[in-house]
Amino acid sequence: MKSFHSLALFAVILAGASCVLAEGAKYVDTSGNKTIVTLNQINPQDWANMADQMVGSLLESGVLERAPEKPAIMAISRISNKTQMQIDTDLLIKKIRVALLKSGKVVTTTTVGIGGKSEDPLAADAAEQQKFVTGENTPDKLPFYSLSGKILEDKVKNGRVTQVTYTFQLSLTTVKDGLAVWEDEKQVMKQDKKPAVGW
Amino acid sequence: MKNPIFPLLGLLVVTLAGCTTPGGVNTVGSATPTPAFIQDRRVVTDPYLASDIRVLGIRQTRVSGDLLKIEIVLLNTTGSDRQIHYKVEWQDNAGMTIASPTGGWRVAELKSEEQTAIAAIAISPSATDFTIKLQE
Repeated sequence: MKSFHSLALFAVILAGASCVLAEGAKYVDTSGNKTIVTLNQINPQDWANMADQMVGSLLESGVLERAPEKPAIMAISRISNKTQMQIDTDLLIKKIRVALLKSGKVVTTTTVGIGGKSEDPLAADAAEQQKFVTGENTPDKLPFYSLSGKILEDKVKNGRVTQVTYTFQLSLTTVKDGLAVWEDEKQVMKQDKKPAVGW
Repeated sequence: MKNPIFPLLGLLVVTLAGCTTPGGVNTVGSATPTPAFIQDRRVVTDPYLASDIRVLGIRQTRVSGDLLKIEIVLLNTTGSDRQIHYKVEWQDNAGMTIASPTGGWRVAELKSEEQTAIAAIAISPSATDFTIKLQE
């Protein structure tokens, strides 16, 4: 009888342990509200949120309606990363580009880049070859707008609470006169509280 | 002889005062009427959320020529600050959902008894309709 109780207890412990061990990797919706939130990183939902807010602000400003040619051609300038992390700013910029393209207001050039470096060198080379073969000297379509920006990080601590702020700044400049016709700044702020006991 | 209970009582009052959260939000605005809310259709599966966070209405306009912009006005009817998740989905005139690279669930903080407006702009001119999802 005693051994039966021991066996039952062992089975219960085993069942409990298997429940805990069953917590493996799983798929989550990338745009869902069950994604992981961390303090010292810009999470996927933060990039999407910032891109959404920036695109909304730019579209609402109405500056894209003032471009003489529609959709307006936009080039991507320097997006500086002033945070302590190594991040690819395309996590923000690509989302903005896709959204603006879908809006029908903007197309982004991939053959005009900073210091003459194009995002798509093959397209740039092919255009040059085409000009050489056909003998046509049609000028490249130059961007009307240039998008530049900065991502900053600020960390403050008060007792057991740590607060991190990520600031996203973007400017849209008219290439012909160098005037910033749209600018905005959005922030993501996160707090974490360390437990009173523990490490 | 002084009653030792009074200093202790005072300390307790001070401690409890430090624990209380700020009260409701007082507001002031223009007396002229703002544009009316559009007619909406609601599906409530969480009556507690619907009671605590009341949807006062939705306004709709067009920006940048042809892009749909909506604003949902919420009221936190409770005596405490609340955080809700929301998501805006856009549909075209065939009722199909328009995918967006910037879409997804967002977080909004609503102060106690505060009225808050949440705005969203469709990224596609083909968006003619919308669905707003709210979750605790």
